[in-house]
Amino acid sequence: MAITGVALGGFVCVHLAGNLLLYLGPEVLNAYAQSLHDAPYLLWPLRAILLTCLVVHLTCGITLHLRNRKAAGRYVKRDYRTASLSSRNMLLTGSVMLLFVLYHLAHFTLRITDARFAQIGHTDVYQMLVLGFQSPAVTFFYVLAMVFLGLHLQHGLSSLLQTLGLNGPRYNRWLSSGGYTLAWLIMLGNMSLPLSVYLGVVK
Amino acid sequence: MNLDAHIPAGALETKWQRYKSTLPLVSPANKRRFKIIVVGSGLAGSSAAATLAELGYAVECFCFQDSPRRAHSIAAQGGINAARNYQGDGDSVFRLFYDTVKGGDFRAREANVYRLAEISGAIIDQCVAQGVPFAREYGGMLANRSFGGAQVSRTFYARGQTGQQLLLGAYGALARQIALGKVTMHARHEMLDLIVVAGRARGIVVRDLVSGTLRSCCADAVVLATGGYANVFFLSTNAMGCNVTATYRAHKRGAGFANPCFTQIHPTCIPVSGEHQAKLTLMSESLRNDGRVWVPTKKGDRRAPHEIPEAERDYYLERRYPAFGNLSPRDIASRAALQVCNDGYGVGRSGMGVYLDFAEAMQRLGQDVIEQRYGNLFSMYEEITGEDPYRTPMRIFPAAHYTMGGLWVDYNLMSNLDGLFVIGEANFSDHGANRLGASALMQGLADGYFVLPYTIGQYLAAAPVLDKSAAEKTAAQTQQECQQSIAALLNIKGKRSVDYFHRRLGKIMWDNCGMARSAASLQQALQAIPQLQEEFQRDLRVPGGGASLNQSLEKAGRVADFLDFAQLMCRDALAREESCGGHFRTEYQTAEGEAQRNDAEFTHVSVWQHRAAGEPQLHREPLQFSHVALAQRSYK
Amino acid sequence: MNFKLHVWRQRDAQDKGRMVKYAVREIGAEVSFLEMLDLLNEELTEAGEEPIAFDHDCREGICGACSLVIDGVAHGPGRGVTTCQLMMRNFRDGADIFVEPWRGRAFPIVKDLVVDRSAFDRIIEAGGYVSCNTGSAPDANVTPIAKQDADLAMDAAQCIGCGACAAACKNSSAMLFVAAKVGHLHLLPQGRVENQTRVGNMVKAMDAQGFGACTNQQECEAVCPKEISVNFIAQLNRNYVRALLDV
Repeated sequence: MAITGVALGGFVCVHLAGNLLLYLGPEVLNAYAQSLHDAPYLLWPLRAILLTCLVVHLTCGITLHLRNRKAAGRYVKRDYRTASLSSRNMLLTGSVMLLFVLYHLAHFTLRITDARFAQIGHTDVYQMLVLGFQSPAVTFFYVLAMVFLGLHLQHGLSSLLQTLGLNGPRYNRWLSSGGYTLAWLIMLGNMSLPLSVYLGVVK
Repeated sequence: MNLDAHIPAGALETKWQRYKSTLPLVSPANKRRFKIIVVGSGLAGSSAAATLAELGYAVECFCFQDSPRRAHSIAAQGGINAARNYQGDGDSVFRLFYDTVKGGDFRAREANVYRLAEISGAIIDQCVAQGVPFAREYGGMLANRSFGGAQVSRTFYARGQTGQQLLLGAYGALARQIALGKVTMHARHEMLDLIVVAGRARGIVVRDLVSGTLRSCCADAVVLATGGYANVFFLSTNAMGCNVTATYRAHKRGAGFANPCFTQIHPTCIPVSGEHQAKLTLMSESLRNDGRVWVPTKKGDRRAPHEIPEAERDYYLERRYPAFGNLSPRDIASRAALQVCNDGYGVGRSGMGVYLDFAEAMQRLGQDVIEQRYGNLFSMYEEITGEDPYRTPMRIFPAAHYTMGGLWVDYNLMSNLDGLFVIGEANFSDHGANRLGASALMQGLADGYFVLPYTIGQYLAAAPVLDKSAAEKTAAQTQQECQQSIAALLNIKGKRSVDYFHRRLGKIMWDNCGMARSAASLQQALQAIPQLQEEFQRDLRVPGGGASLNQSLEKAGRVADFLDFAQLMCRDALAREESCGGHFRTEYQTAEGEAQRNDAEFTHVSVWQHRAAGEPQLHREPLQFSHVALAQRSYK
Repeated sequence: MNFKLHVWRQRDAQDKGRMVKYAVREIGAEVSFLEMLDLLNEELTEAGEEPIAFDHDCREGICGACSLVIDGVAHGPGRGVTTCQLMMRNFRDGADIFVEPWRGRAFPIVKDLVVDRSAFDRIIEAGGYVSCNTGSAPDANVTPIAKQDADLAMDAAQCIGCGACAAACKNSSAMLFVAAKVGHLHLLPQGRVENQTRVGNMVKAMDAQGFGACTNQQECEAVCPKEISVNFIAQLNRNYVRALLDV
């Protein structure tokens, strides 16, 4: 879980960094998209790795969930002292993320959800974003999905070092608050994109 | 009754070494044909079961807890003694031997105690090798602290959880043998009776506490490591499940019970807080290393402790026993506390308590050091009383804690019944009339790791082969008798719970056969107990049946035995017309209120033989002292 | 003080079990939680009903026998204490209190609040010890052990094997229990010899006993009466990875 989580989390970061180019104007963003497009020897292996990670992550997650459900006891009344909401709902937040990724791919990569995209070039990402987030429903769905992403990453990022045994008592507090902060930064960064288009900050 | 202690001849210092190397052996190939039953899985039981299995015997181990790791040895806090002289303060095997004999008020066998002191060092080696995390100095060497009754630092410890760590070590060794298939472990099984065939112990009857089924288990030898009987007082520091059943039933089958009146009242326990209390909590004796015991000099002084100026405090232990002060032995400290409280100087709501004050130590050493040494004990105290001992002195009072008496055993740890070995607190052997702090762990492990595994071989090498059919015939009969006594308890169908009777028995014993006893009080107890027993047999209520987990039924069986046993204890206390160690007869005291022994008439072990009809019969094993001079114990 | 108890009653392993309500009255604040149950049991007994079965023994927080989930938390509202060390002054007068046994596939219920925790023994049997026969040990001071290592080992060794960690875990994982034992022995030179095999064997045994897997929720640490740190779980994971790479 943790190793594939690192890969997927890393992708999320890179993906966000790329998307933040939106704020630098259409030329920069589109040039970035074009450069990715021009390097299929890089793009496709990366996509393959990501897909593998996703499948492994999913399989592990589901297996883990099933095993844990079988092991777990059910209480009439249960209270948690420390276990966070996010840590207890990784399957739920993860499932929403999966749905979101499928929609997101259909939306911007396969471009089958929005008829207007047919008129735009494959690498005119800027225009796609501007058009895509004019719809309140789409924007709302993206923002909501990012809340789930945030929750998912909050637990994932703060605990992956624990799973890998790479943390230590001396810097644990720093590591776990670092994980929290990173998760929230990613969430806010991602949310800002659809919101800024929808609110007209980016035109 | 044959009470030959089988003490080998020769000089005290070399007795055990020489004896060990001349004991008959059982060949390795034959060992696995011998089955040995070990009852109890505390320090003595676990260590014995593991070591016997390592040697190659087929071992079956039983405990009533849900796991062998929960035996009550786990609760020992302070430490374990060993004559290692790592501190260079003049300790030696002889000194530990001497302190123990003197601490026991000269009522233990010299040869046994010397062997114990001799083995003590090897125990520490063994435990360290098992990964017991004893406290260390900064240089990486083992740390020591002082305990009552000694003027050297010879106590090894693991914070306030030494018993736990030692037991987990022994439990680990046991677990390893279970995994290897050499020990068959039966948790949640209680021994109900001993199977005796032609004067030899040949097995036990057990009850599976979950299914309620009775079963007999036959073997070549039976080892009882079933602990002490302090719960005869109902309120004690023992775990709720501790009981006398195994040893008492063995006694009924012919094993002699030695010195039952020797019980230890521990001076530092949290005072009783209410009538519903089920258990008393011990505060480790190690606290007396740094805590000072005092009461106000004015009777009935109800001021808060910090309002009482230094001049109006009586540090009575330091005053009366300047040489040992707050580290006086347990019997002395307990009695002194009782005395000041009876005289009206006691503190707390009930007036039954004295202060144990750390203010001075905190000033001298700082709170950090105190926290490091006693942190878990302090938080335990605060949890129970709601008072913070860093700010206000602890209140403590004596409570029943340990029992020096037990089944009689010879030098080989075998009772007068052939094939019945008794180890740890369950036997009577090494502590005389009073046990020194940190010596129980030492004795339990010495018996289990280093004595029994040698001496049992001698018995097995010479014992006649187990006659299976004869054993099974007796077993069936014994089992039937157990079944009947269970049915009898279930059929009383009276109104009162077991605890009701146990609490009343406890009160009778505490008042009449507790810290101070007299002929009058003991006679009174001997009248009251049979009445209570009669009431028990008429008015007990055990809900539920025998064919499932039934905790009331378990308790009922144990209390039924306590009711019998309590009378034996009183009888023994009555017969011993002297004061010694934990046994204080008010008629026999010096002008200063100290225990007055009567060496001319009572330098012996009192061994009681059960008789089916009539009173038990008293036998005596005389004690000889050749290496220590009998003197009045002085800690001044 | 008065309380309304909701207690899990279950005749035996086969019974389905149910919550049963009991009223307890006039309980002093200095009474412990288990003494309160003792009182209730005495009342039940005198009324001819079967008392509530629960595990308990030392009543001073060290044997690890007591095992109640109180108001949804293993060992109840106290911090760093077992059920037997819990005093009624921690509860509000008139409160409803829910009392349940440990639950989880590896902890089957025996009766009422009593569960079978022998799974823990089997995990220890898989390697929670140093393999040294009696009598084979060298002098105790031959191998110096750094004080901080001995202290840290003691932090882990304090585990009382009560099972609260697994009972409180959403996944019923026994990682903290295993980590405490492995951590204790790993920190000492005597235990390090067998470290490699111990880690694998104990984790395997834990899985075989039907415990779940750790997902780092840290609820175990929060309910542990000895407050054993989840850092030992990280250490276990590190050891586990190392053992995997080495073998």
